[in-house]
Amino acid sequence: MGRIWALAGGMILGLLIILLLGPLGGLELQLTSALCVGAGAAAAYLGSPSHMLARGLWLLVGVLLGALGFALAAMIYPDTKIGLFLGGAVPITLTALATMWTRRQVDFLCGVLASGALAGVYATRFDFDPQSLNYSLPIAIGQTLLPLGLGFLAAVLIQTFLPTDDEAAAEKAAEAPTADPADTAQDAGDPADVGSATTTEATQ
Amino acid sequence: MSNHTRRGWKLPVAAVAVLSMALLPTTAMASGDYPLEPRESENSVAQSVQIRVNADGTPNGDAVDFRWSVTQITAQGEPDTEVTVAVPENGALLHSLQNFGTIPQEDGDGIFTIDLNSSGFGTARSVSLFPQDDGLPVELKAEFTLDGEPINPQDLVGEDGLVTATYTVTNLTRQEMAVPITSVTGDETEKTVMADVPFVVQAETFLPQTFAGLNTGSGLAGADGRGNWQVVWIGLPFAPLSDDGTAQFGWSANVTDAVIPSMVIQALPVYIPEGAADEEKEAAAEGGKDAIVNAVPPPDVSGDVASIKAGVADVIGGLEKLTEGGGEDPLKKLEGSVNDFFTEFGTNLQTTAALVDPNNPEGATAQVKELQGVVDEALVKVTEVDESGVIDDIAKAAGILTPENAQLLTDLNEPINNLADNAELIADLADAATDIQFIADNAAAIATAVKLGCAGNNPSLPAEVCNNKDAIIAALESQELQDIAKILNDPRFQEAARIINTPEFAAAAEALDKAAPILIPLADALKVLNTQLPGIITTLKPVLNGVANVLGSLETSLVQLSGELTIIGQGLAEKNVDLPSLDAVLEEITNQILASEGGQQVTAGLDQVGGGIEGVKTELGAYGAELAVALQAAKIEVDAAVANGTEAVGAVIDKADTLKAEVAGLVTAAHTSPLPYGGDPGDAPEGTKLAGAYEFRVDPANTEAPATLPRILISILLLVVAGVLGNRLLGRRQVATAGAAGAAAGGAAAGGAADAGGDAVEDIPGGGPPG
Repeated sequence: MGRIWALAGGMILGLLIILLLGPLGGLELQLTSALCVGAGAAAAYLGSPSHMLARGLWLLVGVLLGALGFALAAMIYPDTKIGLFLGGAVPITLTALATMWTRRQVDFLCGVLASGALAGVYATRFDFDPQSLNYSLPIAIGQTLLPLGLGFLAAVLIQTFLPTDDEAAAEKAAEAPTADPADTAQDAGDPADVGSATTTEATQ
Repeated sequence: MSNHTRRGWKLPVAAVAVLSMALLPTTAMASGDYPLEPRESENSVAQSVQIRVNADGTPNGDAVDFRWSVTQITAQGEPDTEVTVAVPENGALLHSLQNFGTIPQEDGDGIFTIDLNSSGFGTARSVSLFPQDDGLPVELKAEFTLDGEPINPQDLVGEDGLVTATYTVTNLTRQEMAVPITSVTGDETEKTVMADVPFVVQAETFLPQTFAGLNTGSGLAGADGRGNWQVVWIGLPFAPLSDDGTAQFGWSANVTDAVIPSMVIQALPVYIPEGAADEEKEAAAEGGKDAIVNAVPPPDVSGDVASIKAGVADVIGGLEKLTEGGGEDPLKKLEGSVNDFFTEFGTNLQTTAALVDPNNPEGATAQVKELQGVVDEALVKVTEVDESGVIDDIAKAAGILTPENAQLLTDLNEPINNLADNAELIADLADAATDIQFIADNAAAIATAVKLGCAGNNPSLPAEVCNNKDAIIAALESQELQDIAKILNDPRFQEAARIINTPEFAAAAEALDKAAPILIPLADALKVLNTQLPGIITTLKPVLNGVANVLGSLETSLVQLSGELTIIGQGLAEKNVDLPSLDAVLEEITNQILASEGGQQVTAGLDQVGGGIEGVKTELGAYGAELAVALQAAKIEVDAAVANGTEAVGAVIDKADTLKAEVAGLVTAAHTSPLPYGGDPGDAPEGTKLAGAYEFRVDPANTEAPATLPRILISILLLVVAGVLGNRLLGRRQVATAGAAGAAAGGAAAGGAADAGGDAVEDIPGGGPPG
């Protein structure tokens, strides 16, 4: 199985779990769940597979910061183009401030992915409910976090038996030191590279 | 509340007319009262309170009652200038929605400073938290049942069965109001009624298509294309349309896996500017329509809903137009018609009063008196007959003068009269009876003497005798002479002769001669009288007694009625015309209103609304029908009062006055400021127009909110588990991969590999600051 298909399969599995969870999964926002599952998976695949617990927590924090951004928009921002700009810019700024001390871009990106996912969910939720922040926002948080978590978990598990693009490229480079790196990276997605997982595991 | 009274009772009558119109078929179709020009330079203010509530209508916040008041101002003026508009605003956390920062508040007003652009146009928007302790003029209550049992909406989620949802919007503005009116008697008076600020309630929701047998009552449903019924209701929670000032609507359906969708319910106060110039009123009417039309529902509502909103706005506009004065004001015609009706009614009362006036010799009372006298006299006579014994006499007479006897008497008439006619002769015969007896006794000797006296040539008896000597001798020798002599000398003949010669016999004979022709009919009549008369008397007496009593009561009633009618009629006009049909008056009124501009607008609005909202027409129609029934009942009461003279006509007048006062109260209440924070429109900045509304944003009852906490907890667990697994499973691999990458980097100078390896090295746990 190719790494892309494995990842796609994992994400679809996450959506299927949400579907099977029924009311707990939040069927109304099944469509936006794909965005969140993808964001969770992307968070797991950012850079090299490290600091996974920190990434998971920053996903959680990113969702909360995104919600805070909407709360601020409702309470403080003007209902203008400037306000809409701030609705996006402020969560990014807050996330940057919060992750600055970690000195890891990946944490920041996890936070931004999560707050962006929340924005997508809440914007949809906003149309469903009678525009009541105190009612809709908690629901939006839950409906963002669940697919985020499933996507993140799926991506982590997939990475345990399939190498990332970088790992595959590194393996290629190790096997053929003179090969062109670009070719190496391109070849990493070939089905023939499935077996490289075994190789990777063998290196552990 | 204003005490404005200048309009008198024109306004209430207008409202009555407007509402009555719904009874009639629409004659003016929706030609459209759409504006073609903007209003003149004015500032427009719309202010609404958005109330966030749970599915059962209770506040959806525990610590804070989320009732957001939003204010929108559109200002026009000199280009590139700055205007300041003060709007009543007591909310907390008041801040602008167009700029950063708060908006200053002074003396209960929000002070909005608006920059006008180069076209002389500027806007301001704000939001604030409605004061927690302040009440709202409307209240929402939502109730649900499952298979007939009341149930909390959240408990209903997921259940199966027959579900009913009832939403009640209560108008809390009801207050006792003293309304000056012109009574139907023409007197200026004041009545106290209960009046509400008129509200138009519009509710919209999206009910799942899976609701089987969905019944939305007066609500109209369409498809939203996403598996939902898009349902809209219109309600009018104010007196006299609603006795308790509520508007109720809802739905029922057979539901599987139940949910209660969200809903938006707007309560829009109907505001009629008071005492403003016509232009301003017209502009305000437009403002009111704008406030209605521009209010939510969501942007994806169908054209039906837009049509409904426009229709409602037309109704409101028409109502306002109908209350305007001047020109071909249908209200004046209406006023005249109603006045004519009651004037003519009063005239009729006067006419009736004159008719029953006891002092009028040609009046009904006098005639009744005369009739009463005749009846009394008849009764006396009948009583006399009854008590005189004549009935017994008739019985006796009938027994004697039988038809047989009558025939006999008739037959005897001729001989008796002959006897009477010859009474003298009979008397002579009676007197000569002795002589005749002597002759009879000596008849033989006399006959011999006759024979001898006439014998020879020279008879001794006279020739007259001799010439008849044979006849004389024969008579003398006959037995008849003996019998005649015997009869004439019989005492009975002598007595009969005596009687016949009496004057009584003569009179009797004469009387018999006269009575003979009628004796037989008389006998028959006596026979009939003898049979029928006792029964007639027996029947006639109580009848006459009853008639006498009735006439006595009638006279009393007529005298009393005359007094009452005179009192009432004195207050009314002097025209002497027939009492008009109330139906005709109503028809005339309705036709006049329908023909007016405002009437056409209202009718068009109703028609437009009716295209979707039959409920409005139904409610208005019901009121109109009720009104008509009330008026008809009033007419019946009047008729009854005139007929019986017992009903208090004053009660009818009071009812009519009350009706006028109730509608007057309604229209007066419509002068109440529509803004949530109040504010006298007369105190508003010049050119400022006000509009307001209340909007309940009702949260749904479904699995979303209850599932949120467990969903979040599961999500956090997933993230942590994934993170821990990732750290444990992938961290060790990173070390190995980094090693491999390092080896590769050492054996080659390719930049791409260096990139990958560099990242990997950087991400090695412990490679960065502690996390």
